[in-house]
Amino acid sequence: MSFKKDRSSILVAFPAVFVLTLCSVLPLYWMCWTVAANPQVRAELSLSAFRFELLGRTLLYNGTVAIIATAMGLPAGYVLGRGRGMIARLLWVLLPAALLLPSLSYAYGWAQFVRMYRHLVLPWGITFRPNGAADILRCIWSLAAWLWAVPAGLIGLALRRMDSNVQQQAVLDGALHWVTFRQLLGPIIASLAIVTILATQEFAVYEPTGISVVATEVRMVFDTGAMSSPDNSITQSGALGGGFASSDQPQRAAAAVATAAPLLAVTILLAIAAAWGAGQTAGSETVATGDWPPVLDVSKVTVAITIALLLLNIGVPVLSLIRSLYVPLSPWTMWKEFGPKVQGAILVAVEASAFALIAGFSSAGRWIRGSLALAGASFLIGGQLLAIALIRIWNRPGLYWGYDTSIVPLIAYAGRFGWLALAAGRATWTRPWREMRDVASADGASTFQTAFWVIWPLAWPTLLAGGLVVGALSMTEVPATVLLMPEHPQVLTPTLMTWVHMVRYDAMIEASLIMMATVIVPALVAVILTGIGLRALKAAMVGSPTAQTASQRG
Amino acid sequence: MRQLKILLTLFALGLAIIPAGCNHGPEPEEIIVYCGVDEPYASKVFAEFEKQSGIHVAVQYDIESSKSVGLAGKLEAESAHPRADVWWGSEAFLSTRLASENILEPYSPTTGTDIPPEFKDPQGYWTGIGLRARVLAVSTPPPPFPITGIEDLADPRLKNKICISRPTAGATGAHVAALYVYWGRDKTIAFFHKLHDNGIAALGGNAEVADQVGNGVYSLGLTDSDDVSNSAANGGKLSMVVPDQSTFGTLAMPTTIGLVRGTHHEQAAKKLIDFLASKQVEQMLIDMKYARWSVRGGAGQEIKAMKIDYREAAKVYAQAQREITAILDGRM
Repeated sequence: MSFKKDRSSILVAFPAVFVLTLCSVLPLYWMCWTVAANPQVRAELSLSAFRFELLGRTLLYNGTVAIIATAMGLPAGYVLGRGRGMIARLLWVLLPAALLLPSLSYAYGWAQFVRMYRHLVLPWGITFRPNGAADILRCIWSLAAWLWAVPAGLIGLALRRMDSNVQQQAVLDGALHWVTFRQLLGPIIASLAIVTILATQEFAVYEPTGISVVATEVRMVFDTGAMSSPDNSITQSGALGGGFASSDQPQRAAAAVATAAPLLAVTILLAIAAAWGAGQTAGSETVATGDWPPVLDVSKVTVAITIALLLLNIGVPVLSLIRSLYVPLSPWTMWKEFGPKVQGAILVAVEASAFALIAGFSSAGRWIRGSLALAGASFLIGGQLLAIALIRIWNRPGLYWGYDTSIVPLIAYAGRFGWLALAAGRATWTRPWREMRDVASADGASTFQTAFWVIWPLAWPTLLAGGLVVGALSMTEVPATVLLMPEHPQVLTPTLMTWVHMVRYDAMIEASLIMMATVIVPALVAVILTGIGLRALKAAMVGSPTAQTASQRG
Repeated sequence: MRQLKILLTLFALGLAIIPAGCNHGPEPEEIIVYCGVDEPYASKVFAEFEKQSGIHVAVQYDIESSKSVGLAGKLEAESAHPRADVWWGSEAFLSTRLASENILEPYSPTTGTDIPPEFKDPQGYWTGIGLRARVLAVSTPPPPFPITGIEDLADPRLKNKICISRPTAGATGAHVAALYVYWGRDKTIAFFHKLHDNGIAALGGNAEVADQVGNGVYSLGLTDSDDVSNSAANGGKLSMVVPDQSTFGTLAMPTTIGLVRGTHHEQAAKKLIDFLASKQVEQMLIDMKYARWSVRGGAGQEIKAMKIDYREAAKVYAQAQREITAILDGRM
């Protein structure tokens, strides 16, 4: 059926185009426009010694995060990729747990651990002086332990997609480790790049003790008009009442974008490296579910290491939070106090999830070339810049109806994590799905008919999982939420940020624990749905005539 | 075509759910406060107001590193369509600036008639209650010599053992501006050069200064009285010295309350301002150890405060912040 005749194709694509335009294209356009329209902030684009140092420091700290996270992710990835039975299955569920916790709550857990046991390292002269070496290492470790699930997942998936015959031959040749490492080099590079990108977007971990990285400076510039670090022209112009007056939000917003620009250039390079690395893994378009020879199974030692890492990375910060409480742990009291803001967070997350879900379903019906790249770009710019762009777009006469409600936060979350929903939609354009579409198309089914009768009935668990992950991440997103400070409804994250500077505070601990408990639910459901989706696809591929029935029903 | 209609209906329904969910517009009896007073204290005050009045208060608090400057910037950026109804600042300088920019509207609370004029804006743009002060946080055990004033920070015996919050935002910025007015620019600059040479650490916030002294990382820090109280309550090993009581006094800072111009809930907002300016609330702040002294008691009776003209200090605020930050960073 020709595209001209198949008008349903446009209608199926429209929701994804709408969401993408609103959440990704407009903020990205605003960013480019604001730098072009404010020539005075272009000075920020040049790499002076100060900016070079700031960028270097940011990459050094977050590059170290990536190395540690990837090193920890390797054994876990091996269990995910070549593990069988309950442990491997449980790991798929438990591993993302840390990643889905709010970064600042997670880092607060590690800060409590350090606070409780700092006396043990004092005899060696190690003090956690703010912005000192030990303090910086604490932040690096917190981020690495938070993000280690990313490399683990990438490596696990790469192993599952790897041609097991090659590995089997390598076993016979006595070169299994070398061959596997060579095949995993791409995913390892992708992991390093992705973790570096994610870590550079976080400011809440570094900011409380005054560590200066690009993300902390971007927030300071937008909030106050001044950098918290030396040698900055904005500071020279005056932080308050002069130069870039605080009241001049457009100037501050433009300066914040310009401050982030050098890092954004590096981010683009890292994203290219990540895409290249991830592309190296594509041995097959399908994910193996246990059909590799037993000789390739993960060793017990690797499983033991992974369990130890899991306990360390999730157990230690959570237990440290619980142990630091002065008041008795009472979920009911906690819910009474923080419930309204948690409910607010859930509500906005559900809205963002629904928005992303619409885009996901739409993209499963009709794929728009370049949409994933655009959605990825609005993710890569980070939550802070996305929030700044949206504040500037919506804080104007005629659009206050959006600025005053949860519309702006939901757009921010969909812009930030919508790529996951689109990726779920994109997954329905791989080989097994293409074959089904081809059959449907040959039988005369329109784009809508194919989507409605063939793709959506099979893909809904995966698409729903994509939407749920967007929701879970929205609940715990720190950078965008702190800048947006949603008013109706209020959410918990900005309040957590006001408390994070306190060395030990019961309310911060309780609120962190309740957020952690809340976010686990959608995360678990998403993992279960993904499993259902994979099984449904497998069943459909075993000679099901679904595609043919589509045209008959349509 | 039937399926197309179904799809369109589903899409329309999906879009309808979102605005319906988003329409969490303020209830008639809800007011929004932008609040620079720390949440652990302010939240208890607002809870009491809600209990007494039945009016719900939605609060946005500041973040330690950018302090009230961030919230004030938000107020300014939203001036054409204010979200906030009431401003409760942690000091007077920002409120003075907000008043000069027409962000605030004059309102003299009925409960504030007994507040001395030095703690109120002459035109009624803001009203001050609950004094905090800039104090010295002293570690336990203390340094082996008496600590009496801020100039002790320059004592070589404390080299590399002293700290201050970065003055880009918050009370430290106000303090350096006050010193510019009281001492003059040259003397202030010379003093901060001495502190830099003595290895002073510029930390992310005043709470951080108190906590680090309480943890024994530093011996002496210049910070806010409430941060010392809070750190001590959380197990920090430190004590407080109100500096310069035999000389020029310390900077005493009232919290300041103002009505946001263009508020959508004027009556409820005025009700809250009346409540906040009351003796009852000031006593609450003192009991919770956020404020140390009452504006009504006269700061001079319990604490020797620097005599500062807020408007003059507000004028030099930006310059003082910029120059002292540069000195602390070793750039000037």
